[in-house]
Amino acid sequence: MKKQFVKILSLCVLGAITIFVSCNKDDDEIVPDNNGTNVVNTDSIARADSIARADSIARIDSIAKADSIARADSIAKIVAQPIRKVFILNEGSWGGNNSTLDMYYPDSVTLCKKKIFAAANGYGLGDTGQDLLAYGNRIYVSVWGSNYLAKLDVNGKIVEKHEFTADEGQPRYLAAKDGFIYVSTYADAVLKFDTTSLAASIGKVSVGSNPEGIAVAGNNLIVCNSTKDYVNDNRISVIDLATFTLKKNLETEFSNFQSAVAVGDSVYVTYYTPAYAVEMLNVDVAAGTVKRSGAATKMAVYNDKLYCANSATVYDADWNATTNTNFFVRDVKAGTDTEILDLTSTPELKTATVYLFEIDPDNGDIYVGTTDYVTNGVIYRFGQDGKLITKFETSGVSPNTAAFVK
Amino acid sequence: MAIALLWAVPLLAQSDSTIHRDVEAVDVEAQMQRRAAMPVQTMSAVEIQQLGVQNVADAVRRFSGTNVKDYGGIGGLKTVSVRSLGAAHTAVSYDGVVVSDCQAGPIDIGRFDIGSVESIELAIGQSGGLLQPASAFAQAATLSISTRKPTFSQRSTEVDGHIKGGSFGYLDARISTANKILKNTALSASATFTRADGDYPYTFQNVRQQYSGRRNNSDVRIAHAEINLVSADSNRLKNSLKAYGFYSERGLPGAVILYNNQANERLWDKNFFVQDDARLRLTSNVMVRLQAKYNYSWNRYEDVDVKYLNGHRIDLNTQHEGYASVAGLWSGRLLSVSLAADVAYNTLKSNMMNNPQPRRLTLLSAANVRLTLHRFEATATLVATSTTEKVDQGGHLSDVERLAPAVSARWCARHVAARAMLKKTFRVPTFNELYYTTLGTTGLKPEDAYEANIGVDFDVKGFDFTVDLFANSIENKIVAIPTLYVWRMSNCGKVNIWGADVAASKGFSLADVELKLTGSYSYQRAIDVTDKESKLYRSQIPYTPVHSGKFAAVVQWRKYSLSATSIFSGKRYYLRQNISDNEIEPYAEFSATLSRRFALGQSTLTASLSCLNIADCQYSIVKYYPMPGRQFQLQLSFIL
Repeated sequence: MKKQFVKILSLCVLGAITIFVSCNKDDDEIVPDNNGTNVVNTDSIARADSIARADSIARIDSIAKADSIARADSIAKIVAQPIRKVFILNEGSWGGNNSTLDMYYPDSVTLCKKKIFAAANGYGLGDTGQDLLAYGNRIYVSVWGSNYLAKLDVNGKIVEKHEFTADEGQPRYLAAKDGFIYVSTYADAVLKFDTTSLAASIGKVSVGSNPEGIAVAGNNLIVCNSTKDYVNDNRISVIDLATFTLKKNLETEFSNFQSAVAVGDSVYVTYYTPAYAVEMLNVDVAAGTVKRSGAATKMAVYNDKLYCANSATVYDADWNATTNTNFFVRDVKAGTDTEILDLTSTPELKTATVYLFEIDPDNGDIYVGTTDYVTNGVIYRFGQDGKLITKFETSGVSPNTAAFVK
Repeated sequence: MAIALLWAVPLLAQSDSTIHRDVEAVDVEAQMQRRAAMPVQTMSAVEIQQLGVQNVADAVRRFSGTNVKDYGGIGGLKTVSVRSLGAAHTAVSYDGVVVSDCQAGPIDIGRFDIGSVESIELAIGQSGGLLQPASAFAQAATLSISTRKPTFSQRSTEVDGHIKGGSFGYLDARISTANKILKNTALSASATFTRADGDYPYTFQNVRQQYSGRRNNSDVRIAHAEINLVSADSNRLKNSLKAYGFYSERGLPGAVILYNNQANERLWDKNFFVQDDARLRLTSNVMVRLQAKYNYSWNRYEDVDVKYLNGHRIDLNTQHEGYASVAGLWSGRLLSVSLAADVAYNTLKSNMMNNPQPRRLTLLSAANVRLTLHRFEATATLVATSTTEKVDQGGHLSDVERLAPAVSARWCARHVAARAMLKKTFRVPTFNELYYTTLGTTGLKPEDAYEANIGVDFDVKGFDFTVDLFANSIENKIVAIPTLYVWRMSNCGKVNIWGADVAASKGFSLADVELKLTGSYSYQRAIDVTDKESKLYRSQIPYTPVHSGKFAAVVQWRKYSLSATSIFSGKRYYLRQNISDNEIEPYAEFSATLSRRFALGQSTLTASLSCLNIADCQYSIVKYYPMPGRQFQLQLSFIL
């Protein structure tokens, strides 16, 4: 009886793979880019290849072990979906030209291709990769030291690149909406690019000092102004995306803002206290008010809930630094925090500095990347149940962002 | 001779066959002079000229056991770390008086004018002399730069100088005069001007492509002048008074950042000091030495970038130092005792945010006792340091009250000498480490260094061979610890270092051709033992090759001299994790210099042509700060 199940199951899965692979090959899908231009997606062949090579083996393995039709169904369903990838940006060390991109295959659990930018392009990503964004079947990456914004295909190959002029300032963080990419730069500005061409920016809004994180919240873009020559900016800028003009500079009693997220109608912003601790603020954009909202160094959003990681560094009398890290999820409507992640198998995370904190929009898997700023980073992947799924080392120092594509 | 180890200087000419006991005794004494208890290496002006040495840093990197961190080009910062202890543990003295920079710590040895140098000496531990200021005993290694002194020869006026030109807009001109103004007193003055565009090309591998470019914003202009008043009343009094001025403006090209060639940083430096160094013999066995110095240094850093307020940033720093030292030496037949006391007062003013304007008072005293028994000599040193600091606002360095001991011994016979030493030193945190905005940590403690060395030297018929084995350790190492927002200085590193320096030299003579070969090899392990749990545990620290070596050959024939030199370095890591991604490739650099002397009456003219980095090796000492490829230089120097 059992043997038979396995047999059927194997056949099902093999069939599914065959269908999927041939589908991909037949289609060579025409993917509509955001602005209506059709771009032939060269990825599909590579995709089919890699499925046949890497994933299918892992999958067949797990199938052979499975013992219920229900499970087989679900696996077959996964297989029938396009291959999912998680791009991981390693920032590298400043001045070290050692920023890299890795590509992790979540469905394979273990497969992570290292340095895929260098492999796909034949040259390195450059110095200090700052932010990564998946949008419209393309990956956008801002590279701070090397001073450019690039559009990559889903294999990490450069499609287009914008080099920032001295006046435009070096690029920081990215956001996207309605076919446009927004980039904060250290020229106290947010620049707007059309996804069809990065050759020149198509708009610029002046904001506060050296803006960092930006986030789309409804029709607004929330901009975290930081600091210039140790003079901290106490304003959060709000840009109207419909007109791409500055709506207001929201004066606060806090300053030196770092990152922003929108959770449904709520906006959360992190900032540095004068002692360089990181705390969270809840911003009411319409009312123009902010209120303190606990401590978190990294924020992510899934299912209209705010997920937080907090790595707080304290010094002892001998000025040795200790970091304490915890993870929680906030129900923004109820205003309750619940600890997440079971760290029994990864006690090292309790004292590690979390530098990457992302949630897979497909299934809610939580990705935690750690840094010591010196050695290659480690990625921990947890399920929504808080249990560790896997962990692996990245190809570079300080993994800071992940982008999910399929 | 590239690695002219002091104890390696060939014995004075002697007849081998008939050695009387007295002669041998004299001989041993002569050897005792040369073979120090702690490793000492020197390079003379003649060697500098013959080897085509470019600057003081280039001379120092030809010594064994040194690691010169060179950011490339004429204007690039050059500091020297001895046996992996870190550059801040190397004291630099200029004509006998220690040069200090309380703000930055390590001294940029690239700034000294090589044209005025008479000799460069590197002592690991300390040099053998007892009559020195306390500051000369207080650090783990001392680099002593001595400038040319008037010779008090028959002529009452001497004029010398040179003009040098080379690739990438390099021009260096020097003129110097010395006048005998009294029977035993000479007044000399010199001025040097240096310029370079420094826009040399570089190329390196970027994954599967070659990345090439030219250094951008690396021009430099340096002007330097000195006035010296030197008097020497035979054995009784030697006094040298010096006034020194230095000005430079340079672009800072920064690291090569892939795809981004913007570089707008500039640095201006001014330095002025006046110093006096007097030695007085009171009786046949008592000498005293007095030193005094006032030093002013100023620098201005500017960067242009929209990320700064008003699009640019200007940092201004001014330091003043007052320094005085008194030392006395009593030498007996078996026993010698010396005492020295120094006082130094340093201030820093800067336009940094919340700058605390630190003032530091340092009292140093040193006592040495030396026992000499025919072939054997042992020395014990104790240095007491007291540092107090005051600031306008905020925390400051806690008072430092410490003792640091050293012991050394040597034994010399005719063809063999042996030495051993143990030394403990420390360095006080710099003003930058303590007070630099956001980075500085006022709770820092001094960084401790421990050194041990044993060595043996064979010298048979002009063949000299020397081996030193050493073990060092650095505790409470001051390192920058990153946090989410800022890097903070912290006393949390521990490094264990051990290795060997091996050097050999041999001279040959055939008719009127003389050949001198020297070579050295260093093995060095310097491992990070800060944290047993860390991935970095027992990793080789950055920028420290396990294997490195130097080689030089000099041929002299009548008025010609031809030298060939090579420096090689094994792989190093530029980040702390020892993985292949972080490696810096090994390199070997070859250079050659051809010189000819012309005698015109009493005057001498020397013409030298150098080809540096003949093989156009593309390498870097500091990752992404490429060193120049092949360069040519022509130098004409004269003594009228």
